[in-house]
Amino acid sequence: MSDHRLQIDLDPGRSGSDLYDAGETVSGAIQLFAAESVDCRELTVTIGWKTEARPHFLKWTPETGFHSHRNLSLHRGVLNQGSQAFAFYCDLPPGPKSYNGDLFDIIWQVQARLVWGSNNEQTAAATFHVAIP
Amino acid sequence: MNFPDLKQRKSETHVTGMEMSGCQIFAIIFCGLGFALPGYGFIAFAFWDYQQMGLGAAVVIGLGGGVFAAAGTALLWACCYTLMSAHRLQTPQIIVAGQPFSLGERFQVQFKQLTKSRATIDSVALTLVCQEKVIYTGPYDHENNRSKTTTKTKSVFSEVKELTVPRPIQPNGEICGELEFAIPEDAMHSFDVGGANIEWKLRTRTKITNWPDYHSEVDIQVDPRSIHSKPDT
Repeated sequence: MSDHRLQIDLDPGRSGSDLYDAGETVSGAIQLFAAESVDCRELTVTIGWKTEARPHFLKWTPETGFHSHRNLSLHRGVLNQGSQAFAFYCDLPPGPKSYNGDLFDIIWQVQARLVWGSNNEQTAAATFHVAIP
Repeated sequence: MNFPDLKQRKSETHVTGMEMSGCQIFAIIFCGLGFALPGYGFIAFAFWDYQQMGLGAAVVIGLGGGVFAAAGTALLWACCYTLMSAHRLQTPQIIVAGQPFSLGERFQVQFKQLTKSRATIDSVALTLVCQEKVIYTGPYDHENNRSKTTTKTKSVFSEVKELTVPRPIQPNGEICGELEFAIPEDAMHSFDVGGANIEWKLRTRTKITNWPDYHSEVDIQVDPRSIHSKPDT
């Protein structure tokens, strides 16, 4: 069962864009197309932010990473063949806001993860922006 | 990530000045002499070697000695600079009322610094700085049993303002004044996740005629909140 399609559709934010206000709600749906019926071990959505630093000239590793704000479990059990949608929503914290700096960026993301069968996994991610209202 | 409540606004501020403890002074002078004396010794030996045997080993010995001598001299110079600065002026008292601030907020800074001896003050400059900081981890250092790290810092915003001060000032005289600063509304708030930081600081520089400058700094907390936000958001 390799022909799964996982896609994240976010509801429009401020003025129909991907910009959301801190402290408000981000919502959307995971669109899933299953080629055949399978046993889904886990379909989760994680909303969080990551820091991404500019590369070091000696290729040293920046101490950055993903910081989960909310982890939602959307489905567990049989996934029927065909298309289906799993809605989610999450209140955003007061910060941090999205940032595009000289040394590092702060990037907000919704990450979806589908685990099925013995150990099959598929992921998808969608980026959005958080502003201070 | 937790941000402090606006209701817990405070006005006391910890100032990092240029005073050093006796232990720190001893350690710096000890390290400085430890580098400088052998360094100058190697340079002298290289010169002697050059006169006896010509170029060759003298160049290598001289260069090695030069590096040691330069490092030691820099440490001793930094120690003297700091001691001389702190000899004339006390650590300033800086009151930044109303922290944490919101983006777009204006705030007052009260500056007060006492002189220890007679000083002719050229200027007192206060600089509001926003800087990015990223920590990078390098290869594992087997000698110290830990990975090497380095910190990269870059200033992304700065605003300088000068206080009007009388000159000269007698011993136990007072340099004081009040300035207003504003956090830009489109700037980034304070942010600290260990490896990547945004820090707001207020740096001061007191320039004394024919004497080393006195530097100090205080941390400023800026919350992810706009001045235009509703109080309950």
